[in-house]
Amino acid sequence: MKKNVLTIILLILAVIIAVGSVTVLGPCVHEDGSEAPCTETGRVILAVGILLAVLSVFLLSIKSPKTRMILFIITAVAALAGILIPGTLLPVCKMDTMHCRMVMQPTMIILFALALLASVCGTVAETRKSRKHRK
Amino acid sequence: MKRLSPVITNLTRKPGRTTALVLLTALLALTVFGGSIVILSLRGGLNSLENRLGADVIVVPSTAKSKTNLEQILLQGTTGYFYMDREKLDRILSTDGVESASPQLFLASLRASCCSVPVQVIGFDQDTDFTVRPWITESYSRILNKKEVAVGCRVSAGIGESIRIYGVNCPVVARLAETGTGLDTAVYCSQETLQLLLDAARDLGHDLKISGSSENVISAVYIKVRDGFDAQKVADDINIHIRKVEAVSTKSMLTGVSDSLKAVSGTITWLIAVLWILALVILFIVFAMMVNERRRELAVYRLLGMSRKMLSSMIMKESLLCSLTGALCGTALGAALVFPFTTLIEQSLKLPYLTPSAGIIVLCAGLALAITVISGSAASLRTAQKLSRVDPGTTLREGA
Repeated sequence: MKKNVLTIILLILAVIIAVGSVTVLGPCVHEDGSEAPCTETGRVILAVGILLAVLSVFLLSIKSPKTRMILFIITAVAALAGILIPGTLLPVCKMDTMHCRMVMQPTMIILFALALLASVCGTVAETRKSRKHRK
Repeated sequence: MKRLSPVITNLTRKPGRTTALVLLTALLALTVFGGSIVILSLRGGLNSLENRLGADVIVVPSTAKSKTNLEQILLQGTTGYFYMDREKLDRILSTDGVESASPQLFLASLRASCCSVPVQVIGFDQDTDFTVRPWITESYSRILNKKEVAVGCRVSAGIGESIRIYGVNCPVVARLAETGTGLDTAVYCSQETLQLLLDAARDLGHDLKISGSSENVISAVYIKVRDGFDAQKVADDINIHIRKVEAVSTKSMLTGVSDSLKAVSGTITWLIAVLWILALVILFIVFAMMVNERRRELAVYRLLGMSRKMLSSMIMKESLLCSLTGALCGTALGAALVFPFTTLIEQSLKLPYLTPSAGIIVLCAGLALAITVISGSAASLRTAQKLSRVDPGTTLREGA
């Protein structure tokens, strides 16, 4: 349990990101059903959230420090991409008062930043472990 | 660092206790920093609204709860439009106590090309205006030509880009400074441009409920009252003598906003006070419990040759380090919770909200850090004194 604390945190964050992106933390919804500029961004965030969740589940089941280190690096890259997706890599609506600008963008950036922090800590911990393993 | 190493070892050896202390002090810093920034932002928003309104009385048509509509447009950026005959302007100008009056025309766009939501378009008379013009002059000194628009800071259209409103392409020539009010989400243009947009909207079949030419209508009149006259009396005079209009004294409007602001500030202050008292009580209890828990450990230190002063200083350093870490985490968390969600807070409170300058934010952070560290250290002071007086012989015999 103690060994997997970071992975569990990562899994919880990934679930919040994935579920949030299709519920309260999702993109704007137009009354007439048409797509907002941020709709596609919301879908990509959902995909990254699912990817992070799947990687976290893998991390829970794998014991080899080297493989875990590689998985943590992949989650770190995914989390970094997640930070850049809303607003930098993909568009959000242009008005500050739109839901995607008020809620989705800042919350997702914070959640992905936390996921990045957990991944970096995990990478460092697994690197130390694999070095000890070699000795 | 070498001096701190036994302190750090003590703290890392008891991760549960250390985490609890850090979390408690983080909560103290979070409430002080976050709360003070929200209160200062609300005050800044009210000051900004006072400066931006610039008029003593605003006259709007009495239909469709105009006053509420106007407040919503000014404070929350809700879009709306209402119209009255232009001849009302002449009657207002002839009212006693009116020094100058300037008309404005409102129009709510359908989804403008810049945004996926309607934006409020405000047309002002460039010859007589004394409210919008000084604000626009801060970023654009020339007169707005036909079709040219200035946009509020929350409309994401850059200078040189165009906004398409009712099929008319309007080049953006200026972006205005932030006010923290609904005015930040509006688009400003000359009355000539707005009449053009009104005609374009009517051509597209949008029912604006205007009979006759768009040149003969206005939405609001901003009035400056002559020195020596009471704004409320002038407003009452207009309400009595001119039919189908409602004159609102901006002072009464601001009093309403100020009352709401006081209520919100009061709630936040109470919340901070309650949280502080709770957290401080818990801190005192935690440190009091530490006296019993660490009695034997400190007795051994005394036997190993540490003086009372050294023991007391070690405990103080431990609590100082915990408080500082907690204060830094709490302030960082406060910043992460308040600054990215400025618009959300403003929209939820439905009050003008203007984030203070960087200097004031740094000052608030410094104060939050200092207050938290001092409180944390003060809570541990009694414990440090008690523990340093531990008699090693008696304590170790008691425990045996």
